[in-house]
Amino acid sequence: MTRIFVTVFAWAVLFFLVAPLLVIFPLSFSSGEILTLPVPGYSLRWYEDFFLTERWLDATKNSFIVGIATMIIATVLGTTAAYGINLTNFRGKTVVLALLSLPMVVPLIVTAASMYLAFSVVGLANSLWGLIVAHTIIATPYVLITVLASLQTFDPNLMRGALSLGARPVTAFREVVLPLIMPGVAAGAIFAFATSFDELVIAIFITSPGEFTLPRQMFAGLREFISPTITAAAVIMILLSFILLFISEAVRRRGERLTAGKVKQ
Amino acid sequence: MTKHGAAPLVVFDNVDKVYDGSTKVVDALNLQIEQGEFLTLLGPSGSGKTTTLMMLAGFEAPTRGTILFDGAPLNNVPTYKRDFGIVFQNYALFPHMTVAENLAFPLRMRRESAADIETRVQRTLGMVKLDALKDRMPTQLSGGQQQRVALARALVFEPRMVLMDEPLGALDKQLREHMQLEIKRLHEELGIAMLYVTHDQSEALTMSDRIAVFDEGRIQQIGSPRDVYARPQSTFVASFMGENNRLDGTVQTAQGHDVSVQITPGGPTVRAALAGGTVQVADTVTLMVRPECIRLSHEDGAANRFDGRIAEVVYHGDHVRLSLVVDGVGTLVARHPVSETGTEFTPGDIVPVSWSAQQMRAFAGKGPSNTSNGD
Repeated sequence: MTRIFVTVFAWAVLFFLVAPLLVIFPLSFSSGEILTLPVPGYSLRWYEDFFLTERWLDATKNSFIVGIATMIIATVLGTTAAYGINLTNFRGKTVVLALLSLPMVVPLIVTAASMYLAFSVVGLANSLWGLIVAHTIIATPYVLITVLASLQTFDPNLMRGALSLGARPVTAFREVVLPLIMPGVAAGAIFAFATSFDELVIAIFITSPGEFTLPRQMFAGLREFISPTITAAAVIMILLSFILLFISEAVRRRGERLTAGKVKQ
Repeated sequence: MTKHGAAPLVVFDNVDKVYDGSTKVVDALNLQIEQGEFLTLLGPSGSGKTTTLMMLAGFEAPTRGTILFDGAPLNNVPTYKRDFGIVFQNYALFPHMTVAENLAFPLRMRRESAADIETRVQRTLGMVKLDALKDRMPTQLSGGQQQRVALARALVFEPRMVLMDEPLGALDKQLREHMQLEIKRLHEELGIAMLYVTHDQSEALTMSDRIAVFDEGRIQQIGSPRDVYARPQSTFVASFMGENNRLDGTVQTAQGHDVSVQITPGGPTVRAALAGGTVQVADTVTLMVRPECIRLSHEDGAANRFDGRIAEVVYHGDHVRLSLVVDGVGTLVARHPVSETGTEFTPGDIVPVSWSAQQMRAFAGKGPSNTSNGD
């Protein structure tokens, strides 16, 4: 009896979580001009509109530019920070860690507003560069945390071993540390890209028309001209998220094989 | 082996290592490692032996003093330029590289040609009998095999010296004894200086040209295995290097190294050899005699002869251990070889007990360690 109840409840929760996402699929294939269910008929017109309209294509391109740039910068910063923090023990280590994870807990609207004001002073507001910097700030803590987690299982003697065998510290890091913490680095990189790719609040403050990212363009599409193209954009974003999920899962499995290969003591 | 007359390979000149501003782990260390020598640093944990190795390796910096290698100071030379082969306690094999790739790593770092790397990896694998396993990952190897890969990787680039930090600690007894002989063979074949850190006295005795016994950050005694085992200069060294019967006494007469000592309180007088320093009549001393030095007969040359009652007999295969109660002396442990004639010992029997004056060592003062009155 309890078993049946638990099963039904679990499926209900799952449905509750996924249902809103499912609604968007039929809508995106609708042939009608208004966002209603049931759809009057099926067509690919909104996908056509997405792929043939310059502002949607530009928005997609901008999202990729900002996402990839954020991913690269945040991964480099987060990984090196994590390695440094893990390597040494110093007073106030927990304080530094807390400060570094601050962008994760501060309400996004607060971060966005303060960045807008700060960036106006230095002339970074209303530019993709400003958005890249802002996204890097909120994405770096994710990299820091995933890399710190991988470093937990890293044997510091391997670094000493590499140094004793004649590797310069940078070479030892690249040849020994990096391959072994790669699962954490890759997961962090994917998180960083995803954080930037679906970020809207900061984008509203910092981007100007013509430099809209995909979420910003969707927001505009909803508010200013209710166009069903946003459903097509949504489906494309969902598919991209799935691809990212698969990549991170593949990286995690590969990493598990490697860490299962940790030398027994 | 020590080449007399040649300049020492490594010199520790008055080296201190202090942690957290107050804990002195290594205290005014003066130590020379000779060319081609196998030197073991032996001591309990926390005695400073591993820190000494880490300072030579470049992972720790001396708080004070200088380390010289071939006459040149090492203080500002980073580890990767020191050119020492290091074998770590947990081996530190790179888990993402095969055995051959692990061995190739130091050669790649030295930008050797691919062909050269191939030959040297192959040759070194042959040396440690691992040819067949070169394409395995470290996790697919047994503990003993991993140990040999670590050893091979530390030798493949022909380092100027090899440092080993308890390399056999993780292996079972039989494998450990086998590897001891293997490392000794490699040392003799290659003629390279090796610094070996262990807390296992039998390992130190088996392998070393010289042993430095560490305690509380200082070398308590340094010398050949035979010297350190048979002629310990302090109660610490004596008790760390194997088992001892320990008695307290008061000096009755002292002539050079020959002393006669009355076992306290009120026991018989025994003759012993002074381990170092000088004593005067009425000084208290600690006496030590090893179980294997106690004979179950009244040997002609033995200065100390008593009768003892057997309290306990424990059979160990090749020998028996007997607890003997001697009037006025107390309980002595004797280690007696089991001979083919098969003498039977029964608890309660009275047996003759003797030991020579040379084999009973007298240490000035009482207490667990005796560094202040030493040498």
